[in-house]
Amino acid sequence: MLHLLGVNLPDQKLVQYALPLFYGIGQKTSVKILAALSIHKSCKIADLSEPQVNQLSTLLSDMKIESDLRKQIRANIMHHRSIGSYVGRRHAMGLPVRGQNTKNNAKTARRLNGRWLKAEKKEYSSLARSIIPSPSSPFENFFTRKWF
Amino acid sequence: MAHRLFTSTPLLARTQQTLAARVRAAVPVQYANYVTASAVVMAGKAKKAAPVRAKGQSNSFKRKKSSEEDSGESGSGAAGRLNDKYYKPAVPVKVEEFIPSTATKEHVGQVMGFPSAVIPALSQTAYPTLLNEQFSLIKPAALVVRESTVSLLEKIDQAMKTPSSQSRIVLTGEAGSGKSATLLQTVSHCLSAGWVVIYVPKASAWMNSSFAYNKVPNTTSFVQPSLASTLVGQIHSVNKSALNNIVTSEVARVGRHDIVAGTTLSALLEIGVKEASAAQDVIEVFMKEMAIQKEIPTLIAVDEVNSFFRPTDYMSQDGKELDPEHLKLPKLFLDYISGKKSFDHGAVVTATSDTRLATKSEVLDVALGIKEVSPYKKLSQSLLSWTEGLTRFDIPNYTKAEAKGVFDYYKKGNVLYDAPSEPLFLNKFITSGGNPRKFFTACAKGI
Repeated sequence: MLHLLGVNLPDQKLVQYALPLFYGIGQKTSVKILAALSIHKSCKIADLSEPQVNQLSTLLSDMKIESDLRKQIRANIMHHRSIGSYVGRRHAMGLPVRGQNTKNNAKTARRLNGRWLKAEKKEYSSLARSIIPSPSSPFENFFTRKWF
Repeated sequence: MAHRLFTSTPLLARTQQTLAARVRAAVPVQYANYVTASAVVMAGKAKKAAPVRAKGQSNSFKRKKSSEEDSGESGSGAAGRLNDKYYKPAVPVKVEEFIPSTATKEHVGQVMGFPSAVIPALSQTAYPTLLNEQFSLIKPAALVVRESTVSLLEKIDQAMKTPSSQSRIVLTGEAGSGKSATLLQTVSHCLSAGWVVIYVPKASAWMNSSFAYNKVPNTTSFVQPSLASTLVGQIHSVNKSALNNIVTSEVARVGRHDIVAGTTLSALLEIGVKEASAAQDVIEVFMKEMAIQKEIPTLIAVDEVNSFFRPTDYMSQDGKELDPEHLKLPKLFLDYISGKKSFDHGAVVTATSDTRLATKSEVLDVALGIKEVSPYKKLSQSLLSWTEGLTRFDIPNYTKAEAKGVFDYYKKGNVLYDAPSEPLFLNKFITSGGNPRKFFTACAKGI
């Protein structure tokens, strides 16, 4: 089991089909990586030599994958939200963004579209909690009770 | 009534009789052969009581040790054991040895086995895949002497004193027509005659990205160290005695070693076996020395040669497919196949493989005249340049005499699915069209 940049790569898997286990690497990039490092297509993770593993980790750390990529995607969608655009509003409502019909068939959008913002909301909510007065402060009752 | 029941039983005390005997005694004599319900129940109970385990022996499942003798006699199928319902027990057939004196027209149609001196050499490289199935069914491995075999071997014998660039032969024919088999017979013939033989039974394995490859710095070429090392080991084990007598003529640098002039070629090859990084240099020096010396002729025999004339599955660092000329080991062989380099005495005999369509080479087919394409079609000029001067040698299907010899061999080897007879032979010969592989499956499997 090779542990590389936060992902476990099983030893018996072909390198070509193990690399897409990284978020941000698919079939095409995987083949490009193999070509760049001169790794043959029937090479398994266990067959990789130490220098090859080092070359692979250097190459992967130069690419935008895993958490860096997720941050970038989240930042792009948050940008739309923060400028108050149509795209941002649709992401927030969990509806199709690119002008699709919603009379029928918006199932995938309803299932998937809000998820980048929900992650952001969680972060915001932790910030919000810090300005709510703690139960031990004298004015806690004033701020937390419902006035209207 | 009671006395009739007791006449069949001895008047013994009840405790001295077994339960089964008492049951038997309870059945009247005239019904002794009938199966009664109680007899069945007793039998079942008796079976259950049978396995008596010794104290301390576990009840858990024990893996049976597979007997090696069994798997050696029966074929090498997926289960390692031939299904008794479809295959009769193997009968070893006595065949004459295929030595150079028997490769004549009088012996056409006779099935001959590989000489005992040659079999250990042939086992180093493994037989071609589909022929292996036939050899595993009938032992010992044997092939029929055909007219095409005799004419090819005549050519080879004439080539013994001529440079290899003048005898570069490609065996062609339809799928299953006997190209690999004829190549095997050539290899056996040359080994018996004392040639140095470099036999590659599966060239497609060199190009299908199954061996590791590294780029040679500052060039566009790639090396396959493990493949080169394997090949060096095979050449060393196949030609042990011949290579002990040939020595290098000049100083050479092989990996991190310096080879002095006068080292035996077998010592040189041993370096390549031990160090994979030096193997490519070793084989280049080896081929150069074999090309110069004139005492022993060299044969290069390559099966599935069409994979040399199409792009490989390897990729350059830009992501483009590599041609065989960019891989150092195939390029070395391509030099000798195309005649750019030549042995002073020797020949190059290759065979195409028409079974797997994925590895067919259009360039080779057009160059040999097997296929015609539109003149506007763009063929790779770099690949075409390697095909100059190749001689085409067609392997036809069986003639009736050859097929009869093979049929008699199958009969002796107890391989025929149906009962052997003259009408059966005609049936199989006509339905298979004389195609050797189809003839074999028709005879052995009744298809």
